[in-house]
Amino acid sequence: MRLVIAILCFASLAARAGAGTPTRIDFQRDIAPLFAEHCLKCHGPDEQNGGIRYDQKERAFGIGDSGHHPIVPGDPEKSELLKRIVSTHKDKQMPPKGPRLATFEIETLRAWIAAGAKWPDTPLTETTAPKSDHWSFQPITDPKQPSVKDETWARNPIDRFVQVSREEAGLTPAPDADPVAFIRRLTYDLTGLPPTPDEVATFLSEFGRDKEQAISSLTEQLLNKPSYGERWGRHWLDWVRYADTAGDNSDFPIPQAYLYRNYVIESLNDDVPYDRFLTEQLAGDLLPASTQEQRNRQVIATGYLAMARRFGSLVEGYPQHLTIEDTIDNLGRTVMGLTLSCARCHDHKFDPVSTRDYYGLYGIFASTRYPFPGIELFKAQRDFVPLIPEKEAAAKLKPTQRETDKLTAELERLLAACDAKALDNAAKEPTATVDQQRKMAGELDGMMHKARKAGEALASQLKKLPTLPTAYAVQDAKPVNARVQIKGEPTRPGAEVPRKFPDILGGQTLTDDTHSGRLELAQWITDSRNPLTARVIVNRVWQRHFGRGLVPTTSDFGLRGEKPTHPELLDWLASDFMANGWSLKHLHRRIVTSRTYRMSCQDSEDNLASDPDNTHYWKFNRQRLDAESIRDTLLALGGNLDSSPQSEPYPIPAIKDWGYTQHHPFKDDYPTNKRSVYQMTKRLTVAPYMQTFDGADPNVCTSTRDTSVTALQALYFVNDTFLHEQAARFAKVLASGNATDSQRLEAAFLTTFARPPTTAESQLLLSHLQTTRQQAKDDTAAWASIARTLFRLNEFLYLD
Amino acid sequence: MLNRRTALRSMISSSSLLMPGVLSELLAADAGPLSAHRSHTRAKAKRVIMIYATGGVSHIDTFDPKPLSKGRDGTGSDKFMGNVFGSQPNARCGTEVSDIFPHLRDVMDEVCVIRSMRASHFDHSEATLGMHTGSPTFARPSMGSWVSYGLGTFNQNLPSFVVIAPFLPYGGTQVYASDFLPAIHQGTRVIPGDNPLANLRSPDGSKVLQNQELDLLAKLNQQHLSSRAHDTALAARVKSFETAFQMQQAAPEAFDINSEPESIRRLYGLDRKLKGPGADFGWQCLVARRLAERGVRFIELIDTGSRPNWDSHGEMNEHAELAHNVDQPTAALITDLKQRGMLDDTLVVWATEFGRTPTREGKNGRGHHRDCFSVWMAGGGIKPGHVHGVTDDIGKYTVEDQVEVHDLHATILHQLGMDHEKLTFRHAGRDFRLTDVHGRVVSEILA
Repeated sequence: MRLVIAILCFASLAARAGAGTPTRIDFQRDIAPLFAEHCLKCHGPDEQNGGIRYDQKERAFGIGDSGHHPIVPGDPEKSELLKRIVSTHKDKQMPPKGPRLATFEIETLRAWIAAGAKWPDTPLTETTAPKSDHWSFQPITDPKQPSVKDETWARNPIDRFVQVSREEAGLTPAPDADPVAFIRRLTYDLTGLPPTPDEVATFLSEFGRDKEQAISSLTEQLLNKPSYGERWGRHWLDWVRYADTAGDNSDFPIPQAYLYRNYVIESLNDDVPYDRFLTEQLAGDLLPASTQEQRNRQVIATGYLAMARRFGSLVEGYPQHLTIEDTIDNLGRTVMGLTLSCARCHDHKFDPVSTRDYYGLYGIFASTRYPFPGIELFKAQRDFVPLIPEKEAAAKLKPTQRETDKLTAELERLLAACDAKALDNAAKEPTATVDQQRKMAGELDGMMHKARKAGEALASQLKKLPTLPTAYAVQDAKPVNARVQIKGEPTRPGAEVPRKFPDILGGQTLTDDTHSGRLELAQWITDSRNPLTARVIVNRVWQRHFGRGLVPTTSDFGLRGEKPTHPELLDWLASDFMANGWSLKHLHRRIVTSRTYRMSCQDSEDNLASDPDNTHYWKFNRQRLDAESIRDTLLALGGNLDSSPQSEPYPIPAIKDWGYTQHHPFKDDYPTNKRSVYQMTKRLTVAPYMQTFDGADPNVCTSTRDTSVTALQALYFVNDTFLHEQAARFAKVLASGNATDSQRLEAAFLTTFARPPTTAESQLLLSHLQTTRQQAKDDTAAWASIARTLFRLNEFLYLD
Repeated sequence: MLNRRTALRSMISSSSLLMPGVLSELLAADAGPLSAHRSHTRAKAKRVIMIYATGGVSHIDTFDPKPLSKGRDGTGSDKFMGNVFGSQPNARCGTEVSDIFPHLRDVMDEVCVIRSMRASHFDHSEATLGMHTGSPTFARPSMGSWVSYGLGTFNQNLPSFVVIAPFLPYGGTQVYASDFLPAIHQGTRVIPGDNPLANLRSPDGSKVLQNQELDLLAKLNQQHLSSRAHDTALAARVKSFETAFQMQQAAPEAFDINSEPESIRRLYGLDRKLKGPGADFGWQCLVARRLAERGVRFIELIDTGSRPNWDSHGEMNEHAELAHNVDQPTAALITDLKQRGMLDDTLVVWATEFGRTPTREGKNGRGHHRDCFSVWMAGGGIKPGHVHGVTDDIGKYTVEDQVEVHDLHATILHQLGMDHEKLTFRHAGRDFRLTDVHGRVVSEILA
């Protein structure tokens, strides 16, 4: 009531003031200054909040993000501008803060609009398409290899780019690493495991004959091992936040998730071209397939999209917008190096990405059916994709299909009604009284409750269905364009945006909009003219080889990210990568056979003084083993590493028995001695070991692994039961047979560090062995003490 | 390892007591995040003890008691239900507290109750994450991690952010994760019992052998280091073993409540034989005080796990049972901090994820209630004996001084001398804050 009175008073005041407004209004004299004073700060050249600007006629008369036209010439009632400047609602009023427009100002605007909003045509100085001088949005160039002072140093083009900047900085390169350091470095880097003594011996003898040949044949050998895919697959899984659970508040397990993990590992081992790899993950289901096997592989690939995080516990009011948000956030960071999600609530503050760009992408995923992994109040899987021919699947489900369809239709109907009611409530909310608002909310609650019941009915039906082999994968749904969500709130829909690619990257739209647009999206992303895709992945690969990216902010190539330290090298790598069929193995070969990769970690006082961070690559950065490599090495040395892949689902209880709730979330673990990449990964309960050793966060893109040094890690090395057990196993191998203590120690060193012990080390360790023997229960126990000591050495954890 | 700052960060994470020569020199040039560092403004509190009551404590039956026992019309037919336990005011400050918290009621003159909280979500996991990280949906760093990142810690032999939790909370490990903040700021979980922290004891139990092994390790690592003298990460790791060695002494000592006098143990109710959820809470509270004394920056106590807890959907008497276990030790913590002169610079925060409905659910329970609930704070420059915010006569809506979770966070940081708008971390292209783009310091409750 109070509000109504206020408006009435205001209206009468306005009417009186209206008499005094000038009859002939001149845009330049009367209107432009009002815009300048009250509007342009947020709707002008610097910011175009809501997709509106009042220094351009087209953008002031056009449709805003809200779906309304700010100015409708001749019709003040329909002009959103006028509604906003008279509104006193906290979410609507303009300007949002500070003094309101004076009554005569409002009336001047009203009269100007009523008279047709005459706005002299001015030639547009800027085009409407965004432009940016920012480096990452410029086309990828193919720079010529620079000339360098010392022509003898470089082994391949990478080296010349690195060398030229290093020479300019006046830094001397470190000598090459010794072959022992090199084989450990390369073997861990490409496979995540230490080299065996035999591999070391072979390499050393080849290295003595022909260094280049030895390095290149070792590289081939390692790239051809299945453990290559396990190592680099893990990197990819870091970036796409892989997990075996959904991340909703009961953390529902996804028994089929492993298929996607294995797809990643196998694809890397097969060196599937990166553009194809991305296309399969975004739209594999939409690609032609000549066999069921090929179709299955491509369907499983879309597990990347399915992997988006899930939220909440209810089917009604299910926050699908958050799952889509997580999809776009990950796609942006991982693949495009852009923080697109900033544009969810407002135009990006720093990068040329608008809210409309965001919802242009959003529509593509809103047109995609995500599999439903189950949730506290709907404990069944839904919309997983069968991995058998359609007809076969239909035949198996036929006896139950009618009932399923009926229950599904009922749920969909009720959910649609809830959505409509929620929108209606939100639309009425600003003008409703508190009592009315509470009443409307109560009505919606009642409808949601009905939908929940319908959901429970459907879920119990789904639990009864015959089990088909399925994948956690996506399919096309009914194609729709998204509407902008004002401030990111789905209950505040604005203008509809056609499905499209961001303007700054080309702004392509769908020529045929009868599909989701995922296939087109994959094409836009993998277009060789896209300035980001190739740069982002070569930089990610470089980062995992060297510990730091050429662009240190590997997930942010935007204006707030760091600039490339070697822009020409980045472009050369990206061009070379694309020219060689987007082959990741080619990229690895280029990198690891470079002289840059071969340098030792040796410090030099002069270099340290002028380039302490080694930005000019005058040495190799020493690397700390990651969590997986530490555990896998301990298993390998203990002789109990099971090197077979996890090619079956984990023994997760059958779906019909699922009773997971937020009170009793899924927490099971299925430990094996397989490589760490095959360990069960849960979103809500991260294993303490992974937390201690900076493991990946399965909830977001982990761009780089932290390499902290903490006392808790040291406590692990000192006291952890698993570490002690592995040391005992290693000791058992060492202590068996008839070798002398010195021979045993040498074997221990060769296996662990790829080198024999020095005399000083032998003395210290053998003397410790003698002391220990006096207290230990047997020889193996004494050797276990030696093994533990080796595992704790810096040389174990840090690779030169 | 990658650069000086990272290396130093790593280094400081291990120790600042050790290798004083080199380290202090390095620190002078570039202080690291776990060293105790200066706040933005003058701090009222040096440390936080946060008590988290899991499951959604009914405000109506505890710290915002509502008398409406037989519904609006007195018949009970409308399902409205007032405080089922009865209540009384604290004799000194008058703050009304229900009868299931007699000990806490006695210390209300040290406490400021906020009765006008609004939760960030209506469900447990989300609201629990909201209360801890500011975000009910996406993974974000926990408040303890932010505080550790902002202020460092006083004792390098103990973790800076300790979470004493007999069970995993709703939301799992994300509740105390550091997320994008450096991993050294993540919460270290301590489990009440004989082995509170992992790997504090050698599996074979031989101290002599362990000492010999660590001596040998130091010598061998020293040889390795001799040709790598500039790598601060390697040096830091050598030191981390010394710190670990000291932690093996310091941590069990900190957790050893047997060394406390009988009177103190009784104060915390450790002489009581308890069972059920919250039975370990006396241990948790007493250890919290010991950790606070030993310089831990942020200590969180989580009373129970995701079940059973305060989530009394069917039976409010569950509240009484839980309260019986936690009331005395919680009050004892405040009394004990006070008598040691530590309450002035220790901020005690008691929180839960949301309140419970004024209407009855099931036989004698209540549902989740987001629109208003109570939290309280004590010490650390907060107004004692004060009540902030007013709810309507049935405890359904706030009618005065609504406080959002972001406001609570801003206030806690403020008491620690940090401006919530300035405590930022650059991640994925923007500066993140605990309070996102929200938050207001509730200045009305500051002493």
